[in-house]
Amino acid sequence: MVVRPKKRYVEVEAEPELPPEKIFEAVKERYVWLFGLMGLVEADLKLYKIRDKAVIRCRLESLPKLLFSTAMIKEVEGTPTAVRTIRVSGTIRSLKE
Amino acid sequence: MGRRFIDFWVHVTPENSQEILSKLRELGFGAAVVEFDGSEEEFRETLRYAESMGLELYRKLVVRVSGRRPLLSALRSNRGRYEVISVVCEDLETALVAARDNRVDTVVIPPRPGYRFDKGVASLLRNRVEIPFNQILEDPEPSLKTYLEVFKILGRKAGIIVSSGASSPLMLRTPWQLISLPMIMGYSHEEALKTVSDECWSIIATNLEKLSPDYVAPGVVRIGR
Repeated sequence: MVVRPKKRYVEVEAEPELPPEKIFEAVKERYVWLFGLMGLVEADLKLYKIRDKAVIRCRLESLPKLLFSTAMIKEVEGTPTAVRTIRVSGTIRSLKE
Repeated sequence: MGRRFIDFWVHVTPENSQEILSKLRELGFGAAVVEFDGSEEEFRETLRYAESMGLELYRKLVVRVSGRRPLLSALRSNRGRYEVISVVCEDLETALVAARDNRVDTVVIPPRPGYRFDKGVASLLRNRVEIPFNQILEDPEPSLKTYLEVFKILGRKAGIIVSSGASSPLMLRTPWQLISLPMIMGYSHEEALKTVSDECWSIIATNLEKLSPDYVAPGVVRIGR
């Protein structure tokens, strides 16, 4: 029987505010810088938008790396920026509620 | 009751205090240890503001000296004035003294320490090692190299504390983000959570007891006065 990999959904926000796509690009860029392209592929990151908020999905094993990548963002396109994780959930439904 | 998180090192001035403290509360911290650049009156005002928001505030002294004598002198002259004392260990001599002195709460190893710490240093270590996240943000490569060694060699011997070391709201991170560092270094989720809660609260509890007027010696308290 094939076991479906477990996922985690991380709600993130940027200060100053940025569109979800830009946040996702910045997170992916930092992820590759820290853990390499293979790490990024293994993490299987995907962007969801819930009420204009960015939610990034990753594999459970890659969650600490994703959180660390978000914490390591200092600037986006030359502007000092902080990306912070708001919530972590096992299902996207609970983030929608 | 849920776990209460504490940011163990935040640089606060009278000018940025309200912004930083309200951000800390928003990010889910229940307490903060601040290195405060200001007068006693300004600190009392900051304390009142923190209390009004439900944030516990403790004051920290960060000692940045080089050598045994200046360190001991700094510790002697500031005894009983701060809830937490940290020492930034720029050289091995300072590190060896700070690691053993019971007036020191945490030792901070800079990104490029200029000395090696091995099992010998680890065996002397009585205090906790603090890792400020801002050092990783400022100088990522040497910091991560140093902290990887810290986790490998010292992590199993001594408690580790992860703090933001922030001096502006943009440098603050959530507890989840802070614990991601020990997690990528091999700690379990539960062990990592302790680096921003239990380890810190244990220092605060011990030091508040020491600062109490009824304190006599470890485990001895004067009663019935």
